[in-house]
Amino acid sequence: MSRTNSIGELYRSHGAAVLRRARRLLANEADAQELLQEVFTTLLRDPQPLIRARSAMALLYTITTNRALNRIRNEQNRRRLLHLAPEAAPAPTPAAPPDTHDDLRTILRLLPEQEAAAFVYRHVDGMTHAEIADLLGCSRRHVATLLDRSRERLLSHEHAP
Amino acid sequence: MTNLHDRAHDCISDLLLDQMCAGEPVSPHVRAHVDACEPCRDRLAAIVREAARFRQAELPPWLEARPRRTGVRPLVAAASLLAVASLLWLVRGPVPGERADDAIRLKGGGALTVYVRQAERTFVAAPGAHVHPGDALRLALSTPEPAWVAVFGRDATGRWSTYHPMGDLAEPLSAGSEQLLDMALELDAELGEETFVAVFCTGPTDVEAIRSVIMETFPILAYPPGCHAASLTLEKTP
Repeated sequence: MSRTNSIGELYRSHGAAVLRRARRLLANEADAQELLQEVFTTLLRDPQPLIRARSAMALLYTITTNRALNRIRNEQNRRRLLHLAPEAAPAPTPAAPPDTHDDLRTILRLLPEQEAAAFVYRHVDGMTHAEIADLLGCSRRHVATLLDRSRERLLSHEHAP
Repeated sequence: MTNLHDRAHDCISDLLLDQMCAGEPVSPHVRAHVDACEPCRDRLAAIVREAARFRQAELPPWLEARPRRTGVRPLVAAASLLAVASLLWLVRGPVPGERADDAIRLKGGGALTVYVRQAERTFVAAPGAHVHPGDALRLALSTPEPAWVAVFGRDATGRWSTYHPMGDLAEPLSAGSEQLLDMALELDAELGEETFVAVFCTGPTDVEAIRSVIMETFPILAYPPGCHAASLTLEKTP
């Protein structure tokens, strides 16, 4: 079996989940399809992460989430660089989960990388702290810290003048 | 605007449902929750249907075979490929006497769907779904292009049965989605894992040849050249 065929089989068995996740986070079909391709071509070039992973699905969730968040950040950075930043929107109340993709984008604009990932796993996916710890490769205590920090950051932004 | 939430907070995450759907191991309490929770069963059924549709689509061109790169040290490359293959749940393994380059991969993938009739309800079984003695099963096959098919089962005692076809050669199946086989099964009292394997071949392959290769290589599952397979394992509980 060649590497292409192996990743092809993985694409068949796991691709639907990657595409659904990309659609959920990016809310744009063209971007989601691009991300799907990006995730699997990355593994075609370097399958080492798959070899080390305990769960191929968990690995694909992590890669898809990280790359989706990067895309959102890059899009925001491009807008900033081109002085096309949208009008500042108030952050959603952190006690409540994000209800729309616009809310999610606003939140991701305010949070550092790891906090943003933890926030998505907790409030978009509803994962337990144990599941998040597994995906982020850290302890449950650290997950709780990340979520606390993200909550404080969003609260302080909400109360900023 | 799309609402991002589609489940109750005490239900299990999509990640776990996706792992179940892809045949990855999940803990017994996750399976127990899905069995007992109607919304989660519905979500899992939707994920299984979505995955089946996805599998039937053509592989995108960027995943098709590419010319080999030169300069890769053969031993390192071979080790990487073996390790990748061992991670995948369904792999087409080596067949004695066959070189890897001889392998024929069907374009598009066949899929196996198992319908379970349990008391008054009928549902599509996800990998690891709990079934019970007396449940009735119907099997359906999907293939994006015509194929020759055979279906086998392995019960908890390790006994293999040929469910389809009755003849010596794999039977032709036209392209189509979820084509029900003309047969139904009633589960016996033997508890444990029940595995179903549907094999899709590019030609009229000998059923016994397929069966012997599968039996010898289970649970890795290797197939004769020109064939590939879809499989599903259910958990039969009291």
